[in-house]
Amino acid sequence: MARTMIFWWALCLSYWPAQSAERFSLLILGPDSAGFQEVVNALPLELGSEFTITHRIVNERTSFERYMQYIEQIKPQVMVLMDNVSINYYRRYQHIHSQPEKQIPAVAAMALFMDQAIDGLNQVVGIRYEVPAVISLVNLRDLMEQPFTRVGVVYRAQTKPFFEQQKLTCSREQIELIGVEVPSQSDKMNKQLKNALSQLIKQDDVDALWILNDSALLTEHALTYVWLPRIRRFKGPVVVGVRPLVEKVPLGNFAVVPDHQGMGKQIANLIFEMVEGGFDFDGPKVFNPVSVETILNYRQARKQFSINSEKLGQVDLILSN
Amino acid sequence: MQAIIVTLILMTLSWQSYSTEGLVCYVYLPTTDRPRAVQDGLSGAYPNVSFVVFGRFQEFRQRVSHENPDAILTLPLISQEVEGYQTVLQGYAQGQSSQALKLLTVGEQTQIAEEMVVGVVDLLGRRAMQEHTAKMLNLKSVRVRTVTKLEDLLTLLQFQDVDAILVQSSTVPFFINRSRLDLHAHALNQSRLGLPSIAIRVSGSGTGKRVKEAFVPLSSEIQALLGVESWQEP
Repeated sequence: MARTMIFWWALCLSYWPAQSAERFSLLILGPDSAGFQEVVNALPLELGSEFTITHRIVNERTSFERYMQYIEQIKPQVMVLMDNVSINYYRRYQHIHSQPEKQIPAVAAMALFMDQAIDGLNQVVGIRYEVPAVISLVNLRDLMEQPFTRVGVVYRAQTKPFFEQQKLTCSREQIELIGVEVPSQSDKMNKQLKNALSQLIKQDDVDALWILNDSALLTEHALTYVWLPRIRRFKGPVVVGVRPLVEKVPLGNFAVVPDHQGMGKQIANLIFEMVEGGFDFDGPKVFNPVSVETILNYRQARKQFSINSEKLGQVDLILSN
Repeated sequence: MQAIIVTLILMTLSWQSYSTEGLVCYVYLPTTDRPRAVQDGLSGAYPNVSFVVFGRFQEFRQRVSHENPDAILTLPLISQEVEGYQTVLQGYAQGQSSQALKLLTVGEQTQIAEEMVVGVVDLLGRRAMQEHTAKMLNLKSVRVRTVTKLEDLLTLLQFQDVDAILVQSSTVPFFINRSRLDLHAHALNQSRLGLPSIAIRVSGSGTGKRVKEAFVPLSSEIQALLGVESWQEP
């Protein structure tokens, strides 16, 4: 009898906190690869006990029917949509379920071209994945003994709006972005690239280069026959946006990449703001990433520019290969 | 044969005892340096102490509560929130155990009001940081955006995601030197933040004496790293 009483007491006590405190249901939809997992792992720590978090894997192999099942089963009050597949499916979901009560507020992250990806979606805010030039270049400037002002960029015609936006934010930090445009598509892309780099390095005499994460500009052929031969002759910092280009391919000497744990915190901030605002989010729709990780290829970099050794402690990873 | 086995067991036990003799200290300090650099600096200065340096408050809090290290080196605001630890050494600089907080804005004008959005480094978790920031600004409530790293606060200002950032006065030169924005630091009446302190696990007998002995030498490098000039017992 006593054991039965203890059992019932224990059962009642275990239910008590769940009933006394309201917990919001949060559904994360996205892949489970390394970078995504870092963001997913950061969220419970950041959001604390106010949320019940469920993660369902969504990738190219996930059907739209399965995607809808996840939402119908979990019935979340707020969602995190990671990558373009989850966002595109949500567009279809909102199109089918146009009733206001079915419109679930969401934060979108880890997707390319976020502005276009969430354009027209209801109650969805996004965080861009591309690291803005101003963050990368201010990090670099702080590390150097000789500050720079003129930074060269090659961009394709279709990314001109992105370049113009970067140019504006850099100007506030007194950094002049000098861009050379190449066609969005061309049979002679390598020749266009050669001319663009020659112009920046020889004619415009830029102090540094910022290389965009544009797969059309960084093909294997272009890297081998255009970028690497010309970069070898350039004396100055070369900033890239992915680790392999500073570690495996000797293109850049300084890389600035998204900090996935920081991304988790930024998502959590937006979720809290949604909850505090009664899920009526009327602020800006797309935000820049706030937190980055810096990687310095020290051996390469010190040949190209003078580094303030007192600032090395501020670099996340120093490669000496 | 039995004697050999017993000897081996005793040797193993004594090795284990010796290997855990060094103090274990978990560290969380919002500095401009990365945890890697802080760990290298502290380990070089105090080779008898095993340091684990964290870059995020939440991770620090979770690991401290699960693993109960001998000591924690962090800001008093944080150690006060950690159960089972008691401060044994308080950092001092310029004769004070705390430093002023400043509000940094782009442009000279600022009006401290509840509708403003303030960027802060997360020292306590979001909810607690909201309360703490409001208290520091002498407001009933305030909207905050929390970040993990000090330099992320500058990014919030660069993209106009916040109206101001709340920082320790010692970090103002870091932001001024790093940025070309028209930054202005505004003094806040009586808003201060305690300097780093060392707290020990209450149940660890004799730890206090060992911590005091271990940390008393304070080289100029460590002073610069921690932002303290001396340790004093509270």
